[in-house]
Amino acid sequence: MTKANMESPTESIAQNAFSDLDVPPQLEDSLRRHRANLIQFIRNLQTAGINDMQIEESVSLMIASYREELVRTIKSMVR
Amino acid sequence: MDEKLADESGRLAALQRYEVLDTPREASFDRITSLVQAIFNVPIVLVSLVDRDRQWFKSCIGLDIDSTSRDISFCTYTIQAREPLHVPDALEDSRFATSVLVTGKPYIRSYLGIPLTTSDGYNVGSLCAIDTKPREYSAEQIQLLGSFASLVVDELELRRIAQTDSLTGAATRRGFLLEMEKLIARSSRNGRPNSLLLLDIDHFKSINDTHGHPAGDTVLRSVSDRLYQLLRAGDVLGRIGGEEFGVLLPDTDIQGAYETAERLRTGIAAAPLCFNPLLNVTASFGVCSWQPTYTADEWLAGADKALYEAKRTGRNRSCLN
Repeated sequence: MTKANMESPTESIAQNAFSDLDVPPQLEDSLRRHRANLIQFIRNLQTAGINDMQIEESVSLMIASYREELVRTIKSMVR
Repeated sequence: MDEKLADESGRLAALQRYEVLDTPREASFDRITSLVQAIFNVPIVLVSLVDRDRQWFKSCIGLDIDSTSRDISFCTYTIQAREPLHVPDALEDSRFATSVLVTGKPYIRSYLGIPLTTSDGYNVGSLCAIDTKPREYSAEQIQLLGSFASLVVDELELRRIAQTDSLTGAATRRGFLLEMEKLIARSSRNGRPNSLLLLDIDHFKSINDTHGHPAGDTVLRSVSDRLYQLLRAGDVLGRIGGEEFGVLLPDTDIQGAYETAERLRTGIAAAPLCFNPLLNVTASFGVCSWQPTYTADEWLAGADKALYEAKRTGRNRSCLN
């Protein structure tokens, strides 16, 4: 595996985010898109010269924020 | 030629599907704009949704307004393209040099806007970073703002799914309550009458118990299909609970609402809704008009009281509160 296609620790967190949740089939496509967007977001932060600590903080914030809404959505769908 | 960029009515319909206009501020969107502000070091960041005649801000940092007319907005230009709109110096750009947003408050000098593109290809708005100084953005910064825009669309998409009941296509309880709040806000401004119907399918439990849940699901789908056939385009149908639906009737007084309830009731009872097994279904209706003192919960409680009365007095009937 080359360095270019190795996952960074932050990318790995994004890739595995939400895997503990029981996601209804209607949400799977959205979640797949969101994971891909998060990984692209991390790469764009790196390319723009943002430091590792700020990248980690930003990604954690975005994951927590989306997770909050995702959990609310799942609850409303299984009522 | 990109047909969707020219399809304004399709774009507005796509925006409507998100049911986000005039909803309260939400932390998820504010977190994104705050992060954009911190990383790009700009005084103004907006999630702007471009409606027919205005741009409305779902999230806004650096301005104390929640909308502007569309004809003066930069974002109107942003949604007309697939590419970001980068204006390094508005005073040097003939499209914007005389704009009131440039010559007056907030004195915009540079603008970077990324279209918010839905999964079906419509640009419903823009995420933009605005400065009061001229500013040139690098290709990497433009790409980064593009990533933030994708996260905004992900949040919008999640809400759209949450607000639509996958079985019936009606609004979920959450989506319906949001529509009630919006109608209440509008009525408070324009004083127009609005009414709410609650309807409950009679003996639904015995349909499930006798014929199984697939038959119950068929009945729910068929009831909502029939209701959609009988409602006006501007009416809102929601699935409030298991077999309970709500209908919001804008610009409708109590008499009109009662007549609508009776039309829907007879429409449901008129022909079987499920053919295998053959099932005739009826529903009971509660009707309640909005009063200026009502919250959404009080309005729902009023309709629920009338629905209870319809159930208590024999079912397959409409009662008023």
